[in-house]
Amino acid sequence: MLGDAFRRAAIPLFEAGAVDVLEYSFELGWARARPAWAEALLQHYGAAGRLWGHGVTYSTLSAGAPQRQSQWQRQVSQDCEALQLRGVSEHYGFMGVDGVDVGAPLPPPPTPEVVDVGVRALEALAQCSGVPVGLENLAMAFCRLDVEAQPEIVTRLLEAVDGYLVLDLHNLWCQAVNFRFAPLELLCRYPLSRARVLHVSGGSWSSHGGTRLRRDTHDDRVPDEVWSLLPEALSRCANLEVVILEQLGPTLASASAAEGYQADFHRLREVCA
Amino acid sequence: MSVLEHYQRRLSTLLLEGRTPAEIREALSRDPALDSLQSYVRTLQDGPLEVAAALARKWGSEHAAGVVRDERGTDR
Repeated sequence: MLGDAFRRAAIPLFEAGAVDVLEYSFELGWARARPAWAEALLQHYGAAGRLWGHGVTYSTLSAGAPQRQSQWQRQVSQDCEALQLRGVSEHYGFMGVDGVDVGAPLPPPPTPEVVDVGVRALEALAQCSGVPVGLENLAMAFCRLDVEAQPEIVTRLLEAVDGYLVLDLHNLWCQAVNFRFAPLELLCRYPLSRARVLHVSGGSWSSHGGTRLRRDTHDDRVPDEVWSLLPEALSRCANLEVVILEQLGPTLASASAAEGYQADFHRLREVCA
Repeated sequence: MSVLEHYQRRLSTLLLEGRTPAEIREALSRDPALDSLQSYVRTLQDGPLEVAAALARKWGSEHAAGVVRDERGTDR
């Protein structure tokens, strides 16, 4: 979201005054300096109380990643001071352990230890950030048991820290279609009263030995199935504050992709109005 | 080291090594430290393990080459 493709695609939305809230993937600003246009936007939305932070690499459910998590907490603490974030959220899952990094969050085996580990990680994040902490449901699942266990574990984690749910509808649909769950029934297993942030995005399919898997690749427009699920989620999430449209910046380089992103954004505003 | 940490370390290492799903399940099922997770390990499906292995190898090669990603996602 800090690149030129994203900037070109999003500028018309900002110029039209159509963007109420920003969600910032703050890890992007850790590896390299933020461009001036992005810094100005973040400061503006932060000062207005309309900026939320969101991460991918904290590895919330890692049992052996104290170094990674300590470093992450220090950087988040600095961002919270500099940017006036309303809340900080991460993903369900683990991304390896210290010294072994797999680059993407993966589902943990559903054991009691997962809850203990996750509560400690979220408590530490709440302490260092000084703002409410949230957790997003993960798309990746290795088996049906992962899909069945995630809502209950998310519920227990968020209750322990009085945190908020970042409900990602595309991720939920990925699990439903990949493991043959009814999307609406799966949605209702989550602690929807804790949902303050809703994510809407697109993704892609991959094939594996004759089996198709829906993936959370953030590289395409929002599919019809997620649009269909959106009103159902909106009507059930009484405490929702923010709806975010997600798409990776580099996938918005063509004019048609940028137009599609803008069309999805306007449609999302209409549905949420 | 706890069972959970041991599982996470073993699975992550196997994914980074580019093992096939069958090899991953076999390696995990033969690990005596993971006895309590055997019913779970048996259910791990091929497709998601292949995706996870591809993501891990991509990340590993980028990291070794010093690539700084412009975007971070959960499945990229």
